[in-house]
Amino acid sequence: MMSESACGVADKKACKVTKGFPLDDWRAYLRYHYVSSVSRSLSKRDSLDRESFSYEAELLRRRVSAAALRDENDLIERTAPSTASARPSSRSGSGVRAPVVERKPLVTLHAFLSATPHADSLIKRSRATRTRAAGRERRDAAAADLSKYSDQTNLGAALIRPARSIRW
Amino acid sequence: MLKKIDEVKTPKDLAALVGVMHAAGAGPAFAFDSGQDAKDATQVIGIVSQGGLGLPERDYYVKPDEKMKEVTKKYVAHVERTLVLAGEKPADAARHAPRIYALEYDLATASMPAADLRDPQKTYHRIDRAGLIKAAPRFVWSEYFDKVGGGGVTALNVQQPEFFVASIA
Repeated sequence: MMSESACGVADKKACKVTKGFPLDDWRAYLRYHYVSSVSRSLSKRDSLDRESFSYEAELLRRRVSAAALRDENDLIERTAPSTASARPSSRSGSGVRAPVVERKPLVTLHAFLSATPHADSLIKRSRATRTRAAGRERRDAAAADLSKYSDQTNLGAALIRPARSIRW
Repeated sequence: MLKKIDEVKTPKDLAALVGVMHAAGAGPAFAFDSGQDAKDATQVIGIVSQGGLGLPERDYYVKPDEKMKEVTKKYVAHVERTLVLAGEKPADAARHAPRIYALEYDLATASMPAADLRDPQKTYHRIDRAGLIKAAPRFVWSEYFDKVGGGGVTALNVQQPEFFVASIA
Protein backbone atom coordinates (compact mmCIF):
# COMPACT_ATOMS: atom_id res chain seq x y z
CA MET A 1 0.00 0.00 0.00
CA MET A 2 1.29 3.42 -0.86
CA SER A 3 1.97 5.71 2.02
CA GLU A 4 1.24 9.40 1.84
CA SER A 5 3.99 11.74 0.81
CA ALA A 6 4.76 15.07 2.40
CA CYS A 7 2.21 16.83 0.23
CA GLY A 8 -0.57 14.44 1.21
CA VAL A 9 -0.96 12.65 -2.10
CA ALA A 10 -0.47 8.89 -2.38
CA ASP A 11 1.66 9.15 -5.51
CA LYS A 12 5.03 10.22 -4.11
CA LYS A 13 6.45 10.99 -7.52
CA ALA A 14 3.74 13.54 -8.08
CA CYS A 15 5.13 15.79 -5.37
CA LYS A 16 8.75 15.58 -6.42
CA VAL A 17 8.23 17.44 -9.65
CA THR A 18 9.12 21.04 -9.08
CA LYS A 19 9.54 22.39 -12.58
CA GLY A 20 8.69 21.36 -16.08
CA PHE A 21 5.33 19.76 -15.56
CA PRO A 22 4.31 18.04 -18.78
CA LEU A 23 1.72 19.83 -20.85
CA ASP A 24 -0.80 17.10 -20.16
CA ASP A 25 -0.71 18.09 -16.49
CA TRP A 26 -1.05 21.75 -17.37
CA ARG A 27 -4.03 21.04 -19.61
CA ALA A 28 -5.75 19.15 -16.81
CA TYR A 29 -4.88 21.93 -14.39
CA LEU A 30 -6.31 24.61 -16.70
CA ARG A 31 -9.39 22.51 -17.36
CA TYR A 32 -10.06 22.15 -13.66
CA HIS A 33 -9.48 25.83 -12.91
CA TYR A 34 -11.68 26.96 -15.76
CA VAL A 35 -14.55 24.69 -14.78
CA SER A 36 -14.08 25.63 -11.14
CA SER A 37 -14.22 29.36 -11.99
CA VAL A 38 -17.41 29.02 -13.97
CA SER A 39 -18.96 26.78 -11.35
CA ARG A 40 -18.14 29.20 -8.53
CA SER A 41 -19.49 32.07 -10.58
CA LEU A 42 -22.76 30.24 -11.00
CA SER A 43 -23.15 29.49 -7.34
CA LYS A 44 -25.14 31.62 -4.99
CA ARG A 45 -22.10 31.98 -2.75
CA ASP A 46 -20.75 34.50 -5.18
CA SER A 47 -23.81 36.69 -4.95
CA LEU A 48 -24.70 36.50 -8.60
CA ASP A 49 -28.03 38.22 -8.60
CA ARG A 50 -31.03 35.99 -8.83
CA GLU A 51 -32.51 37.52 -11.97
CA SER A 52 -29.31 37.09 -13.93
CA PHE A 53 -28.89 33.60 -12.64
CA SER A 54 -32.40 32.64 -13.68
CA TYR A 55 -31.66 34.04 -17.12
CA GLU A 56 -28.51 31.95 -17.46
CA ALA A 57 -30.32 28.86 -16.25
CA GLU A 58 -33.06 29.44 -18.79
CA LEU A 59 -30.51 29.77 -21.58
CA LEU A 60 -28.88 26.63 -20.39
CA ARG A 61 -32.19 24.77 -20.43
CA ARG A 62 -32.94 25.88 -23.96
CA ARG A 63 -29.57 25.27 -25.51
CA VAL A 64 -28.60 21.82 -24.43
CA SER A 65 -29.93 18.90 -26.35
CA ALA A 66 -32.15 16.31 -24.79
CA ALA A 67 -29.40 13.77 -25.22
CA ALA A 68 -27.21 15.77 -22.92
CA LEU A 69 -29.70 15.87 -20.10
CA ARG A 70 -28.67 13.73 -17.21
CA ASP A 71 -29.44 13.60 -13.54
CA GLU A 72 -25.97 12.91 -12.30
CA ASN A 73 -24.68 16.45 -12.27
CA ASP A 74 -25.13 17.49 -8.71
CA LEU A 75 -22.86 20.49 -9.24
CA ILE A 76 -25.47 22.05 -11.46
CA GLU A 77 -28.20 20.85 -9.15
CA ARG A 78 -26.59 22.57 -6.22
CA THR A 79 -26.11 25.78 -8.12
CA ALA A 80 -29.43 25.78 -9.95
CA PRO A 81 -31.94 28.29 -8.68
CA SER A 82 -35.23 27.17 -7.27
CA THR A 83 -38.41 28.34 -8.93
CA ALA A 84 -38.82 30.71 -5.99
CA SER A 85 -36.04 32.84 -7.43
CA ALA A 86 -38.01 33.58 -10.57
CA ARG A 87 -39.64 36.68 -9.18
CA PRO A 88 -40.37 39.99 -10.84
CA SER A 89 -37.25 42.09 -10.98
CA SER A 90 -37.19 44.40 -8.00
CA ARG A 91 -34.58 46.66 -9.57
CA SER A 92 -35.91 47.27 -13.01
CA GLY A 93 -39.40 48.08 -11.85
CA SER A 94 -40.63 46.99 -15.24
CA GLY A 95 -42.89 44.33 -13.81
CA VAL A 96 -41.60 41.88 -16.40
CA ARG A 97 -41.37 38.47 -14.87
CA ALA A 98 -38.14 36.55 -15.04
CA PRO A 99 -38.53 33.24 -16.85
CA VAL A 100 -39.76 30.42 -14.69
CA VAL A 101 -36.91 28.00 -14.34
CA GLU A 102 -37.50 24.33 -13.90
CA ARG A 103 -35.25 22.62 -11.44
CA LYS A 104 -35.01 19.62 -13.72
CA PRO A 105 -33.97 18.35 -16.20
CA LEU A 106 -30.36 18.79 -15.31
CA VAL A 107 -27.42 18.88 -17.65
CA THR A 108 -23.82 17.93 -17.36
CA LEU A 109 -21.38 20.67 -16.60
CA HIS A 110 -19.53 19.77 -19.77
CA ALA A 111 -22.71 20.13 -21.81
CA PHE A 112 -23.37 23.48 -20.20
CA LEU A 113 -19.89 24.82 -20.91
CA SER A 114 -20.01 23.56 -24.47
CA ALA A 115 -23.47 24.91 -25.16
CA THR A 116 -23.11 28.30 -23.53
CA PRO A 117 -20.76 30.49 -25.54
CA HIS A 118 -20.86 33.25 -22.98
CA ALA A 119 -19.89 31.04 -20.02
CA ASP A 120 -16.63 32.99 -19.77
CA SER A 121 -18.47 36.21 -19.16
CA LEU A 122 -20.11 34.74 -16.08
CA ILE A 123 -16.78 34.76 -14.30
CA LYS A 124 -16.26 38.46 -14.83
CA ARG A 125 -19.81 39.35 -13.89
CA SER A 126 -19.54 37.40 -10.68
CA ARG A 127 -16.26 39.09 -9.86
CA ALA A 128 -17.75 42.52 -10.53
CA THR A 129 -20.67 41.72 -8.24
CA ARG A 130 -18.29 40.69 -5.48
CA THR A 131 -16.21 43.81 -5.96
CA ARG A 132 -19.24 46.06 -5.69
CA ALA A 133 -20.42 44.26 -2.57
CA ALA A 134 -16.97 44.56 -1.00
CA GLY A 135 -16.93 48.30 -1.82
CA ARG A 136 -20.27 48.80 -0.14
CA GLU A 137 -19.06 46.94 2.96
CA ARG A 138 -15.91 49.07 3.16
CA ARG A 139 -17.90 52.28 2.83
CA ASP A 140 -20.38 51.15 5.47
CA ALA A 141 -17.56 50.22 7.82
CA ALA A 142 -15.85 53.56 7.24
CA ALA A 143 -19.09 55.40 7.88
CA ALA A 144 -19.58 53.47 11.11
CA ASP A 145 -16.08 54.38 12.26
CA LEU A 146 -16.46 58.04 11.43
CA SER A 147 -19.83 58.32 13.10
CA LYS A 148 -18.10 57.74 16.44
CA TYR A 149 -16.72 61.25 16.16
CA SER A 150 -19.74 63.50 16.18
CA ASP A 151 -17.87 66.66 15.10
CA GLN A 152 -16.57 64.90 12.01
CA THR A 153 -19.62 62.96 11.02
CA ASN A 154 -20.85 65.27 8.32
CA LEU A 155 -17.45 65.72 6.77
CA GLY A 156 -16.79 62.01 6.99
CA ALA A 157 -20.07 61.11 5.35
CA ALA A 158 -19.37 63.53 2.51
CA LEU A 159 -15.89 62.19 1.97
CA ILE A 160 -16.81 58.57 1.79
CA ARG A 161 -19.80 59.08 -0.46
CA PRO A 162 -19.19 58.60 -4.17
CA ALA A 163 -18.35 61.97 -5.72
CA ARG A 164 -21.38 62.09 -7.96
CA SER A 165 -23.78 61.89 -5.02
CA ILE A 166 -22.24 64.63 -2.88
CA ARG A 167 -24.70 67.48 -2.24
CA TRP A 168 -23.21 70.75 -1.12
CA MET B 1 -12.53 27.40 -23.73
CA LEU B 2 -12.37 23.65 -23.05
CA LYS B 3 -11.57 23.12 -26.73
CA LYS B 4 -8.80 25.72 -26.55
CA ILE B 5 -7.37 23.96 -23.51
CA ASP B 6 -7.33 20.65 -25.38
CA GLU B 7 -5.46 22.36 -28.21
CA VAL B 8 -2.52 23.43 -26.04
CA LYS B 9 0.45 21.64 -27.61
CA THR B 10 3.43 23.88 -26.89
CA PRO B 11 4.70 26.16 -24.09
CA LYS B 12 3.77 29.08 -26.35
CA ASP B 13 0.18 27.82 -26.53
CA LEU B 14 0.17 27.41 -22.77
CA ALA B 15 1.29 31.00 -22.11
CA ALA B 16 -1.24 32.31 -24.61
CA LEU B 17 -4.08 30.35 -23.02
CA VAL B 18 -3.18 31.47 -19.51
CA GLY B 19 -3.48 35.01 -20.90
CA VAL B 20 -6.88 34.25 -22.43
CA MET B 21 -8.10 32.75 -19.17
CA HIS B 22 -6.84 35.67 -17.12
CA ALA B 23 -8.62 38.02 -19.49
CA ALA B 24 -11.80 36.00 -18.94
CA GLY B 25 -11.48 36.34 -15.18
CA ALA B 26 -10.14 32.90 -14.24
CA GLY B 27 -6.87 32.78 -12.30
CA PRO B 28 -4.62 29.86 -13.19
CA ALA B 29 -0.86 29.83 -12.46
CA PHE B 30 -0.47 33.41 -11.17
CA ALA B 31 -2.29 36.72 -11.12
CA PHE B 32 -2.01 39.83 -13.27
CA ASP B 33 -3.72 43.12 -12.59
CA SER B 34 -3.14 46.85 -12.75
CA GLY B 35 -2.64 49.20 -9.85
CA GLN B 36 -0.96 52.30 -8.57
CA ASP B 37 2.80 52.17 -8.19
CA ALA B 38 3.32 52.10 -4.42
CA LYS B 39 6.30 54.45 -4.73
CA ASP B 40 4.98 56.75 -7.43
CA ALA B 41 1.32 57.62 -7.07
CA THR B 42 1.25 59.25 -10.49
CA GLN B 43 1.76 55.92 -12.23
CA VAL B 44 -0.58 53.01 -12.82
CA ILE B 45 1.45 49.93 -13.60
CA GLY B 46 1.01 46.21 -14.13
CA ILE B 47 1.11 44.02 -11.05
CA VAL B 48 2.13 40.39 -11.32
CA SER B 49 1.73 38.23 -8.28
CA GLN B 50 1.62 34.69 -7.00
CA GLY B 51 -1.56 32.67 -7.38
CA GLY B 52 -3.01 29.66 -9.14
CA LEU B 53 -4.09 27.74 -6.05
CA GLY B 54 -7.42 26.00 -5.79
CA LEU B 55 -7.43 25.94 -2.00
CA PRO B 56 -7.62 29.29 -0.20
CA GLU B 57 -3.93 29.83 0.52
CA ARG B 58 -0.43 28.42 0.88
CA ASP B 59 -0.90 26.96 4.36
CA TYR B 60 -3.53 24.54 3.15
CA TYR B 61 -0.81 22.83 1.15
CA VAL B 62 2.26 23.11 3.34
CA LYS B 63 1.00 23.07 6.93
CA PRO B 64 1.77 19.60 8.26
CA ASP B 65 -1.25 18.89 10.41
CA GLU B 66 -4.01 16.33 10.28
CA LYS B 67 -6.72 18.82 9.43
CA MET B 68 -4.91 19.99 6.33
CA LYS B 69 -4.19 16.41 5.28
CA GLU B 70 -7.89 15.69 5.51
CA VAL B 71 -8.63 18.80 3.44
CA THR B 72 -6.09 17.62 0.88
CA LYS B 73 -7.76 14.24 0.49
CA LYS B 74 -11.16 15.81 0.04
CA TYR B 75 -9.81 18.41 -2.36
CA VAL B 76 -8.15 15.83 -4.62
CA ALA B 77 -11.40 13.84 -4.65
CA HIS B 78 -13.27 17.03 -5.53
CA VAL B 79 -10.87 17.82 -8.37
CA GLU B 80 -11.28 14.31 -9.74
CA ARG B 81 -15.05 14.55 -9.64
CA THR B 82 -15.03 17.99 -11.25
CA LEU B 83 -12.86 16.72 -14.09
CA VAL B 84 -15.33 13.90 -14.72
CA LEU B 85 -18.16 16.41 -14.76
CA ALA B 86 -16.14 18.47 -17.20
CA GLY B 87 -16.02 15.56 -19.61
CA GLU B 88 -12.89 13.60 -18.72
CA LYS B 89 -12.99 9.83 -18.57
CA PRO B 90 -12.95 8.59 -14.95
CA ALA B 91 -9.58 6.91 -15.44
CA ASP B 92 -8.05 10.12 -16.82
CA ALA B 93 -9.59 12.18 -14.03
CA ALA B 94 -8.19 9.78 -11.42
CA ARG B 95 -4.74 10.17 -12.98
CA HIS B 96 -4.96 13.94 -13.39
CA ALA B 97 -6.36 14.93 -9.99
CA PRO B 98 -3.20 14.14 -7.94
CA ARG B 99 -1.06 15.71 -10.66
CA ILE B 100 -3.09 18.90 -10.47
CA TYR B 101 -2.66 18.87 -6.74
CA ALA B 102 1.08 18.33 -7.16
CA LEU B 103 1.28 21.29 -9.54
CA GLU B 104 -0.60 23.46 -7.06
CA TYR B 105 1.60 22.14 -4.27
CA ASP B 106 4.60 23.43 -6.17
CA LEU B 107 2.96 26.80 -6.64
CA ALA B 108 2.15 26.85 -2.91
CA THR B 109 5.65 26.01 -1.76
CA ALA B 110 6.97 28.76 -4.04
CA SER B 111 4.48 31.26 -2.62
CA MET B 112 5.21 33.93 -0.08
CA PRO B 113 3.66 33.22 3.36
CA ALA B 114 0.54 35.20 4.19
CA ALA B 115 2.25 37.23 6.94
CA ASP B 116 4.87 38.49 4.49
CA LEU B 117 2.20 39.54 2.01
CA ARG B 118 1.16 42.22 4.48
CA ASP B 119 4.60 43.85 4.27
CA PRO B 120 4.52 46.39 1.41
CA GLN B 121 8.32 46.44 1.22
CA LYS B 122 8.46 42.70 0.60
CA THR B 123 5.96 42.86 -2.22
CA TYR B 124 7.50 45.76 -4.10
CA HIS B 125 9.87 44.72 -6.88
CA ARG B 126 9.89 47.02 -9.88
CA ILE B 127 11.87 44.60 -11.99
CA ASP B 128 9.55 45.37 -14.89
CA ARG B 129 8.92 43.17 -17.88
CA ALA B 130 12.56 42.56 -18.67
CA GLY B 131 13.22 41.43 -15.12
CA LEU B 132 10.23 39.11 -15.16
CA ILE B 133 11.39 37.49 -18.40
CA LYS B 134 14.84 37.04 -16.89
CA ALA B 135 13.39 35.51 -13.70
CA ALA B 136 11.13 33.07 -15.53
CA PRO B 137 12.52 32.69 -19.07
CA ARG B 138 10.71 29.45 -19.96
CA PHE B 139 7.30 31.06 -19.81
CA VAL B 140 6.52 32.80 -23.10
CA TRP B 141 5.63 36.18 -21.62
CA SER B 142 5.19 37.92 -24.96
CA GLU B 143 2.36 35.53 -25.85
CA TYR B 144 0.87 35.90 -22.41
CA PHE B 145 0.83 39.70 -22.43
CA ASP B 146 -0.56 39.81 -25.95
CA LYS B 147 -3.50 37.63 -25.01
CA VAL B 148 -4.21 39.17 -21.64
CA GLY B 149 -4.50 42.57 -23.29
CA GLY B 150 -1.28 44.08 -21.98
CA GLY B 151 0.91 43.76 -25.03
CA GLY B 152 2.57 47.11 -24.49
CA VAL B 153 2.92 46.95 -20.74
CA THR B 154 6.51 47.07 -19.57
CA ALA B 155 6.22 48.75 -16.15
CA LEU B 156 5.58 45.93 -13.71
CA ASN B 157 5.73 45.33 -10.02
CA VAL B 158 6.49 41.64 -9.69
CA GLN B 159 5.31 41.19 -6.14
CA GLN B 160 7.00 37.85 -5.49
CA PRO B 161 9.86 37.29 -7.96
CA GLU B 162 10.88 34.14 -6.07
CA PHE B 163 7.52 32.61 -6.85
CA PHE B 164 8.13 32.89 -10.57
CA VAL B 165 11.70 31.66 -10.31
CA ALA B 166 10.66 28.61 -8.32
CA SER B 167 7.41 27.72 -10.05
CA ILE B 168 7.09 28.55 -13.72
CA ALA B 169 10.68 29.45 -14.55
